[in-house]
Amino acid sequence: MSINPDQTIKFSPMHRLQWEEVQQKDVILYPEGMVELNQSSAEILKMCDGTRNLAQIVSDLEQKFATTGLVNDITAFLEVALKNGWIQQN
Amino acid sequence: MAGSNKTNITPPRWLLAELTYACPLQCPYCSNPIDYAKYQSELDTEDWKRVLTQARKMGAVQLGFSGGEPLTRKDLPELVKHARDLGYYSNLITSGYGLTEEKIIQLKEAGLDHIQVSIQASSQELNDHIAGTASFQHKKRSRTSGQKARLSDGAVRGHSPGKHPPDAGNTGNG
Repeated sequence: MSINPDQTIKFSPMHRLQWEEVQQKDVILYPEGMVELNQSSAEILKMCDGTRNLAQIVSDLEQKFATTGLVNDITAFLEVALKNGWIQQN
Repeated sequence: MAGSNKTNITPPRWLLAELTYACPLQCPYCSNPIDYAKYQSELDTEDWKRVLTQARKMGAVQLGFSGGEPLTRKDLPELVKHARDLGYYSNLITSGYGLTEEKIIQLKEAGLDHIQVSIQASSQELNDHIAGTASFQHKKRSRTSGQKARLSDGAVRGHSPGKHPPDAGNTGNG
């Protein structure tokens, strides 16, 4: 299973992504479990709203943080996210 | 040196709310008091809401509604709604007894995320023997109802509490 660059990416409807005030971090919630995210991974996952494909996510994040060269890091993380079921493609 | 390291205690992640002792099952391994019928006083709705609010402020994010059988609490949908408003991820831990499709939809609309149905054994005979109540068919139906209500894919799961009988391995976890 790997990211199809042509398809849009959406966050899994079986998981919930939310900000935890006490811990000051974003987390993924699922039955009896929680993944604590660092800022980079949270920013990537927030882009997975079903309207963007991989290239659009990279481009939007590079624009948001005024940087370049994020494609490898973002792709690697999204592969992990897909494997864990945090994101889906159609 | 063993025992000399200070443990870094982080905020609590889980709150297990044992809403009631009342339960239609009589599983011998249960931590419920045997004479639970004598216990009539439970925390009322407002008290539980206050507990949920306070625990959320401490950092708890996963919430288990348990018991006893939590479905015997008439205010369960109200508590589920309060939990959802606070940002909990809510799990209902139930025997499945009384868990109709209508009830599942009501709880889902209130904001419930996940249902866990206890299964004492994978055969009806042994399950009902351990539970002391003819409950196996209720448990099976609750799974179908959960799927129909699309609570979430695989969100109605079986689990075998306490000491696992030898055949409890294949009860439909997932």
